[in-house]
Amino acid sequence: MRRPLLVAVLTAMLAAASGAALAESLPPLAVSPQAVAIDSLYNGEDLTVTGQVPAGSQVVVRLSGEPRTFRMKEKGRVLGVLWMNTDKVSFSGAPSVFLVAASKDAPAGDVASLGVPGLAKAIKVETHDPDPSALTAEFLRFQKAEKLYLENAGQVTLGPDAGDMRPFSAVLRLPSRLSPGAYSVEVLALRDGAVAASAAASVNASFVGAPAFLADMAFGHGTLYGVLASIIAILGGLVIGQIFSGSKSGAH
Amino acid sequence: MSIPMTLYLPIAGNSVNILAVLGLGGGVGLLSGIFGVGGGFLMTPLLMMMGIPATVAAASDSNQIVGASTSGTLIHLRLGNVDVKMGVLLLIGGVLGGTLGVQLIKILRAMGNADFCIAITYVLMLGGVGSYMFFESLSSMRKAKKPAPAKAAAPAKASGYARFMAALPFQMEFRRSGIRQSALTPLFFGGLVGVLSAIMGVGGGFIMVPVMVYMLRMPMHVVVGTSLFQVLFTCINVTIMQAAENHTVDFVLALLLLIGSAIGAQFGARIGRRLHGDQLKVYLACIVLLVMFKMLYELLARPDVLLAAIGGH
Repeated sequence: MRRPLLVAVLTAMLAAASGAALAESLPPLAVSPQAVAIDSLYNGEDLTVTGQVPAGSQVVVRLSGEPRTFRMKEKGRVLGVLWMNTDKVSFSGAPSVFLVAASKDAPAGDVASLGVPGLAKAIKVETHDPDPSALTAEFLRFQKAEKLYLENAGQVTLGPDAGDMRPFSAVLRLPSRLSPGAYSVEVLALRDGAVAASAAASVNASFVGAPAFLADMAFGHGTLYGVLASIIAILGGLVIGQIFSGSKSGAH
Repeated sequence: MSIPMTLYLPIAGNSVNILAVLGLGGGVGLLSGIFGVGGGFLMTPLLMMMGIPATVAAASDSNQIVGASTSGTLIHLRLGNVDVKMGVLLLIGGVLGGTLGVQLIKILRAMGNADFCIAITYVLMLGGVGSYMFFESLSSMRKAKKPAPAKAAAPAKASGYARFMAALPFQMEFRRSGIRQSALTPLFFGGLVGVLSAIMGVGGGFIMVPVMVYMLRMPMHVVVGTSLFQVLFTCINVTIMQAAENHTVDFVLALLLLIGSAIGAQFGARIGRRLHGDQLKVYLACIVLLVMFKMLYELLARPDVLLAAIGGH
């Protein structure tokens, strides 16, 4: 099983990035649904995370996809006037999806460093450009424009303090553009400008029904899939052509 | 329980609104039925706005064009507007040219200036072809109104190119088009368009149509039908290649677009028949010029994000 390992690596990576290596762990989280089924009618889904955090703390919830390498092209000016794709650049260690939500009174500065801007530290850039940090900022903007990285991706509601803990409940809206894979959910309890405690859980998204069948065909039997897609398109075109020439024949 | 309006596309990895995709297919199909162009230059950017990755948008559009051009070719065949002999020769040229173009782009990529060459070729060619077509058909529309002075200019104009064409070997009759020409000409021009469309990564319909009108001197109505016939085979090839090598064909998306566009193409072919050949040319010229200006704008304006995903062109 790769999932527990992945979650551990991700948590360690993200925790290191946010300087929270010393935070203690929270009681286990309850995530619902525990597995996301992407069927034909999937159009985003609400993910509910509930648990307990230390009394008086604020909460940041993050969902991140597996880190991967994004290969892209940088746009630059050619001959001083034309904007074109120029140098190749790759970003590694960037999550495929990254959603952040925070409770209302969480300090904005802490939320930013735990959120999308904070990712900059974990992302490695490979480029000829003398200024890689500007490129990383550009990459984060790109991912936000693609709606793959989202701040304010849901709501976090805090309950009243009960003893030395307080309950919270978070609803994250998963994007409609979701690929199958393992996603890690993290809850960070903020107190006095630092992460006081954290916990993580994993959610698995997978294709079911028609999407599973089509993806199997497309990736497993590409040529056959292409031939079938062409044949069905031709038949479809013929049928529609027939319907129309039949119904309109009287007009000519 | 309400009827679901969205559908998740497994290859594109996103869900789309069914009605929006059907409408998009219908609009582009209408254009393709009227002018005989594939419409990929409109469809791909619009699909990208719906959140479909560029590579999936382009490949699924090819799959869709297979269906739409089947439907369009069928109706043009019935109307007697398809020159099959010419179409086959152009197609052979196109396949050879396309293979050459793919090799050429590899060499350009290795030299490092590929993107620059592609963009410049694109803008210059669209601008040239578009404005020539625009002014030529405008002036011939004016001449049609005042027929007298036109006759004096005609013989002098035709001489050079026409004499060269008549001197080529393998002359044959193209009955549908009503012309007599060497078999080498469509092979050559088909090859040229094949090279260009492989380099630019487009179907080439809107380059092929002007070539058939001005270089092969075919009548406009036969041009549209023959172009659709040719586009059909080109897109079957692209669909299978993309599905086999890049896994970027989303069949569900293609099917939705197809239903819209095949219906649109039927109406398009009927509208096209009512329009005069010169009117058709002026409208197509306007579309070609619009695409040119859009590309020019994209080259000159500072992009929102200074990064691009690899795979698109």
